[in-house]
Amino acid sequence: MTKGKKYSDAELIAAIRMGDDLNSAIYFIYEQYSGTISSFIMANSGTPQDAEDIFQETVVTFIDLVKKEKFRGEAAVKTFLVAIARNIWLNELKKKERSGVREQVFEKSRDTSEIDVSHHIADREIKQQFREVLNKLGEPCRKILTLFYYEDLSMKDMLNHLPYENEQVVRNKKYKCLQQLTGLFKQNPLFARLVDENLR
Amino acid sequence: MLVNYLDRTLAESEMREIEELINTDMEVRSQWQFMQLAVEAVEYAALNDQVAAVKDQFRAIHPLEVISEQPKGVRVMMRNVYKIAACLLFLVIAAAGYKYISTSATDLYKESFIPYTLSTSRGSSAINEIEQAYRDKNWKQVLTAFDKAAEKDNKTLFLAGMANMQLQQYTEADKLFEQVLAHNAQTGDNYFQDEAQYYLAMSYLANNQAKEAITILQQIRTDKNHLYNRQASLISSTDLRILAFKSGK
Repeated sequence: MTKGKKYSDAELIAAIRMGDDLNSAIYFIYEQYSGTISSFIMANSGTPQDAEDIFQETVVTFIDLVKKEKFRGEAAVKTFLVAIARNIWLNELKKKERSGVREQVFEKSRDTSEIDVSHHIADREIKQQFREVLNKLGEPCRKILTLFYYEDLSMKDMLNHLPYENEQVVRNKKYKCLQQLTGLFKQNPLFARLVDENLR
Repeated sequence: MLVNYLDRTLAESEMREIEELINTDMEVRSQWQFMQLAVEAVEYAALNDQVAAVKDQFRAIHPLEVISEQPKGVRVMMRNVYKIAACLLFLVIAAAGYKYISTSATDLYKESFIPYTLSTSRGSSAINEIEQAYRDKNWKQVLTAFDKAAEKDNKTLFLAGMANMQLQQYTEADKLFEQVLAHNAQTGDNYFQDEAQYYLAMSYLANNQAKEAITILQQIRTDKNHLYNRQASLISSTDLRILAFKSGK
């Protein structure tokens, strides 16, 4: 990771999509935008810890959207991040039943020209359920699946991170872990309903 | 087979077969969607962990500043404290303003004036006409007798001054009290000195001559042996300060 590396909006999006030096891109986002967005959260009934948590979720959401090409730079990165943070925070306030007058003013103060990211944030509940399901999966399985599907390592490279004898063992373990995780998703009511609705 | 399809390790023809199955077979499609969810979950969690790790590195260099974070209850309490303090301050300023506006020399005179009472001297010679008129509270008679009096000593001057005060003829009263003080200054005497001083101050107040009154009252307040030290000290210092400020404009 290169700390202090600078990106234009276009360069940032490209770096995220390529995934080569994602850590530098994330570091840059923190350097550039964490102050602004944290101040924004704290100015709207948030604590410093709220600001920290919301900004982290904002960054994760942003990167996820860029990777899925749901954001291609049609607005400034800052504008998009603020829009995401605002939506997440409003969601959080409603969840915590802190929708007093101040929060309602915050909700209504949204600039009408602001990007609507609500549909991107709508699956926040799904993301939270992801964590619930993954927590039921053992750490060895989680590591194998992360190395393969997120870090995109080959079976050979994965051997360097895992205590297995050969690639075939890793392949078999990976298969079983994926089957196990898929089974856990089938058992989850939310995902069962989602898939069922999707099939109709 | 679905795992191989997911991992794209199948031959082209096999890929197309699985694709066809996914599109036509509900069971296979269901399994496929759950599998996709599983992979998406792994990727999302890993991304979250990666961001968290970079955040920790960032915070190691740029710690989160927690500047006087207060629990919401304390913030609400402090807001209420500020509101109460602001109300109190407003009340204090309003009270001070009212006090300033409402304080006047004439009002202070009305609050502070105590009529002079002639003492009874046993075995004295016959009471003269002025003294008798004064005891009878016949102020005009006092002044008539004063005008007729051949000799006008300090007592006579003083009583005539008091009669003028009772008749609200303050300028005339001032002159008579000032004559008493002038006599004493000439003779080195102090006959009716304290009385004339105090009631001269009162007369000045009644006549809205605050500055002159304050000068005399301050002299009386500092002189512990003055006959009217207590009476002068009972007059509010705040009132005197306000009057001094107003007269100084």
